[in-house]
This record gives sequence, structure tokens and C-alpha cells, in this order.
Amino acid sequence: MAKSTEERGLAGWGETQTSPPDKSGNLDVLLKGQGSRSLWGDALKRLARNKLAMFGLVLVSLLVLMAIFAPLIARYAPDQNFTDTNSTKPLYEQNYQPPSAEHWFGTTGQNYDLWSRLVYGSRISLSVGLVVQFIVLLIGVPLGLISGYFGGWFDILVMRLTDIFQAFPYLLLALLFLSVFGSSIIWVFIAIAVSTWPIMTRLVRGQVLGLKNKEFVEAARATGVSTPRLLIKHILPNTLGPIIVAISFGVPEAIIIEAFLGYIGVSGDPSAPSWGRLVSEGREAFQSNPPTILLFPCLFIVLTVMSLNFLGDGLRDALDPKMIGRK
Amino acid sequence: MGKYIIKRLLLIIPVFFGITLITFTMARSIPGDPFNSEKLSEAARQQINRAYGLDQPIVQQYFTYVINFFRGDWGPSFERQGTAKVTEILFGYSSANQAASLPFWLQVILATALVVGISALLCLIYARRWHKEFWSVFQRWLLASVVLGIIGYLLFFIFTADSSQAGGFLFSLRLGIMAFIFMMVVGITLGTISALRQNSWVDYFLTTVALIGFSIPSFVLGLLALIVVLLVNVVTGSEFSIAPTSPTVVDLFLPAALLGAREACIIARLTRSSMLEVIRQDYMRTAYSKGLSGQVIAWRHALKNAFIPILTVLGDRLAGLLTGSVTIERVFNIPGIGNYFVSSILAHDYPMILGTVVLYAMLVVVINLVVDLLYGYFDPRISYSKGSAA
Repeated sequence: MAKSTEERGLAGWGETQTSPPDKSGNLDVLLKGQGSRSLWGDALKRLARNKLAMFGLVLVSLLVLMAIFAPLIARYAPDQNFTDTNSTKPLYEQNYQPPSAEHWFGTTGQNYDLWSRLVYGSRISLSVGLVVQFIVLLIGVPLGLISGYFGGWFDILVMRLTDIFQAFPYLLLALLFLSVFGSSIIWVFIAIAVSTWPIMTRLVRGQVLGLKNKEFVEAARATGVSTPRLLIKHILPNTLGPIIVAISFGVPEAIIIEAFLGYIGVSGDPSAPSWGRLVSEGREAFQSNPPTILLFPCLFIVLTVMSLNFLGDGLRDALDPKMIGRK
Repeated sequence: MGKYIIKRLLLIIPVFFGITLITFTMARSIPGDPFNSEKLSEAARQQINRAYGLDQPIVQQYFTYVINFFRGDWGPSFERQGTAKVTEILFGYSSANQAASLPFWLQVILATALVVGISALLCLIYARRWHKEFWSVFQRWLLASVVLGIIGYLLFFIFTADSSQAGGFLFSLRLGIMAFIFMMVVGITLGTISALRQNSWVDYFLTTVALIGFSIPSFVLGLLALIVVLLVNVVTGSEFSIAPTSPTVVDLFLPAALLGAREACIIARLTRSSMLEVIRQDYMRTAYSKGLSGQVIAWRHALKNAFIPILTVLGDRLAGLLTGSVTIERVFNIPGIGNYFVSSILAHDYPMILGTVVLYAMLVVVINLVVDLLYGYFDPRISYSKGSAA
């Protein structure tokens, strides 16, 4: 049962292939011995040859730069109000300005500059993606390593826990979690991590189960390597490939969940809104105002998720040892 | 196999208690109170709390809930001042009309018997025609026709039930199932076409579409569709709306397609890569050299074998679509359980929160169980009798 669930956990990713890796590269790997080549160096080369992945990498880098240098890129502060107090027009006639030279993406209902808000929102989305995966790693790797290697009652306990959390729809769990603990960003990180940790745990556990009876582990054990060292230095490095692939797809997934939570209105604080919040603000107003108010936040989410997926696809193709010699 | 089924059924117990415990604790910890209207006097509030059993010790409340749950009483909905039960909101109001008809389980059995009968008749005709022993022919079809009968009747019931009397579960089921069918049909067709015409412009086009579609979350896709509908309405002056408040089956087509679109892209990618793998196998060359036509080879030989890796993700996708429908329900305001869940959180409607979560969780557990059992049936290489660690 456990095995089939693990396989299904990542099966959606595991089998798809988009861009065929270069034939010559495969040949080199098969022949081996020409120059010193490590598994990682090889994977990096394959990744660099993948145009789509490189395109994704460039876009992701641009997004990261945008998040870091938000004050330089956004033209205004995210909470700078553009209501002209001297004007006789009331607020409801001044807000929702269409895109113009002054406000590239128009303004929102509170008369904030949408472009600036989106640029600052990228900080939230990207940090959610990264921090959530970091927490998932912190939970999943130790649990997976220990339960896979030692088995026994601890393994049974961990597996029952993952059963429970996998039966719990992750969107609902995150939503419930945030309504209990409030919508500050720290709790958003924790809520999404708590809802998505079982996949990583099962992945690591499955890898360890496959590795622990291999000869190199037995050899290490025979030479008197201590168990913690064995786990960290010998087994963990061999599980890194699948873990990296899982992370690269977990980041966009976390961003999607955060966007939905923001859309429901339970994530993030309204003064520095996340993309999901902006989407929900746009949803309320787009029918009688310029639809760009909804369109642009949506496009930002799609673009980010897409570039991360391109990169993830490339990483998977590069790291999956099954790919060598195939196609 | 029997032992395995029992083991799996027993594993539902910790999941049930885990889910209810987590949800119960969390729902009670949401800041605020279900009955905190300032208009209520303190005495009135205490009276309400007593009426709903909220004044009892929390542990006792939990066990009362669990015992009542198995009696079919999932509690009153606080949000509706106790005028409706959670089961009524989720599963629909039982009208006098329904009470007069046959009990549901009997309907299922009768429908299944009908399908098995038809299948037996077909087998009889087939056995007569080709001079084979009836029983050996029928044996192969027996289990399949039982499964077909049960699933078929459930589907028939889900899609023909009266929408006006229906509970939220029916809408969510319709949405999820329709999205699943959309995913299968579109995903597998596009994936197969793409693989058969590898490296042509059709392939590049479909691969790109799948790659982009895979990156659009369903709720964002729904919102983009709303923008498109708005623009179309403005240009043509029509008054089209995607989902009315009490949607019929036809009204749900578009939301279901939007829900299934991302999954369809995943299935299309999976089908393509799996097909590409299969059409390079030796037996495909044999089929060509036998002089079979391209169509026969593509659909009978290649797709059949390429389907196995797809089969392994289908159960997961179905569960994902049924529980993921909350996004689309929210965007289009469809009265499904996901929508009820969100509003019940805001209203501190504890029985409703518990009811929706448990329903979702049991759905996931049952689907996973059925799917795992089906693998064992369809793929003889999977054996559950030995070596299946916990």
C-alpha cells in the first residue's frame, strides 16, 4: 500500500518528458571515462542544454530580482494613495483608473498603484514558495530517513500520520489552520507546510527503503560508520535527486495554494497584499471597472508558476537517471 | 487479497479518528463564538449553548459527536440557527416522494442485477455463436459487469437527481466527475495525437498548450474565463453567465471543463511520453510487419499498453478533482460542499465544518481503496498477499 501511494505521489511528474536531451550527451555518459565527470556536473550540463529550462531560469531570476529590488522597480510605495484630496471628485470616481503612463497597470479600489502592489506582492509569493519548501524539508527529510531506515513502531506511527494528512484535503486544512491562527505570513508558511508535508516524507522514506539494503550501505556499516553518519553522509546524498525535483514542483504548488488562500481572504495582511488578495480585490470590481484589475494579478501568478514549472521540468529531466540512454 | 482488504478497511479507523480530532480541535480553536451576537442576553446565549450541548466538557462533546455521526446524525447547522441538519444540507432534503420509492441500496442492487443479466445474455449469444462454453465466457465478464452496474447506477443517480432538492454533495460530485471525464477524454486524445505525430507542428502546438495549461491554477483559469465572458457580453450585448445559483447539469459543463483543464494537461503529457515509449517497442514493429493498419496499431496495441502508467495516477486525480472543486465552486459560487466549508468557517458552524471535512476525507479514502483494489485486479503483477509493508 505504502509503495503504491508513494509511486502515485510523484507519478504525475515522474513519467512525463518534454524536451528530449541531446543524444551526444547520453553517449558521453554511456562511454564514461572521458574527463572527470560527476553526477551533478552531468545533470547541470543537461540542464544548461535544455532551452525551455533556461528560459524558465531566466524568468525566475528576473522575478527574484524584482522581489529583492522591489523599491527600485515599483514606481510608488504599495500603500501610496493616489486620491487627489483637492479634487471635487469623490473617491469612487477617482479609483480604478485604467492603465496609463502614470499608472502602468491602473489603480485599485483604494486608489493604490497596481503595478507597485504586484511588484511588492512578488516578495510574498516567492517567499511562500521557498520557505514552505524549506519547512517541508525540515519535517519530511528527518521523518522519512528515520522511518524508512529503522522501520518498526516509529515507521508505523509516521505512516498513519501521513495517511491522516493525505486524506485531509490540503486546501481545507490550510484554510482551517489560518482561521485558527490568524493570517500573518508566518502562519501562512506553516499552514501550507503542514498541509503538504506527507508527500516529501513518503518520497524520502521510499528512497531510503530502496537504498538501505544496497551494497554500499552494507559496506559502510561493516566498516563501522555510525548510524547518524551513515544516514547523513551515505544515504541522504543518494536521495537528493528526487528531493530536488519534488522541491522544484513544490514551490509553484505552494505559490498556487497561497494565492487561493489570499483569494479566499485568509492569507496575508491587507496593507501589503499578496497576489491572491489582489486577485480577490479584482474579482469584486472587474465587472464595472477596467478588467485589467483582475487580469494582471492573474497573469503574474500564471507567469511565475509557468517559469517555475519550466525549470522544474528541466531539473527532472536532468536529474532522472532513467533518462540516460533513453529516447 | 481478502486479508489485504480487511487490513485496508481497518486502516480507515485511525484516519477517521485523526481527521475528526484535528478538525474538532481546530474548529473549536477558531477565535470567536458561534452565537456572539450582541443582541443576545447572557442568559439567552447560555440557553442556546445548552441546547446545542456546547456547555458540556469538550471531550464529552467529541465522543457525543462521534457516536451521533455513526447514527447518521451529523448535528444541526449553527449557521442556519439549527433549522437544517448538516446531513440535509450536504445530501439534500428527503422529500415524501423519495420516501415512497425503494431504498437506495435496493435500487443499486436491482440496477446491478440488470446489468449482470444483460451481460449474461450477451455472453450466451456469443457462446452459442462461437461454440464456446457459456460459463468460461461469462466468468471473465462477471466482476466487470458488477462493477459497471454499481458505478453506472451511481452515476445515473448523481446526474438525474433533482437539483432543487439536492444537497451540496451532489453538486460537488457532478463537478468533480464531469471534470474527471473531461480530463480523461481531452488528455488522452491530445496526448495520443501528439505522440503519433511526434515532432510535427501539431505536436509542438499541443505540447506547448499542455505546458502552459499545466501552469494555470484552476481558480485563475476560472477568473480568466470570467473576464472573457465579460468581454464577450460587452461586445455582443448578451447576458451570458457561467454558473447560475442553482446550476443544472448543463450549467456545470463549463465550470467542470475549467476545473479539469489543468489535470487534462497533466494527463496529456503523461499519455504522450507513455505512448512514445510504447511505440518504440519491438511488438509494435511486429504489428506493422503483420500489415495491420496504423489506426488499429495506434488504438488497440499502443494505447492499451500506454494506458498502464496513466491508470496509476487516475485515482489520485479523481480524489484531487473532487476535493479540488472547492476552488471552482468558490469562483463561480456553485453551492457545493467546498463553498459550504468556507462559509461555515466564517460562521463558526462546528458541525458543518466537521461534516464537510469528514465527507471529503472519507471520499479520498474510499477512492484510494477502490483504486488500489482495481490495480490488483487489472494488473496481475501487483500482489497484495505478501510483502506489502504497512
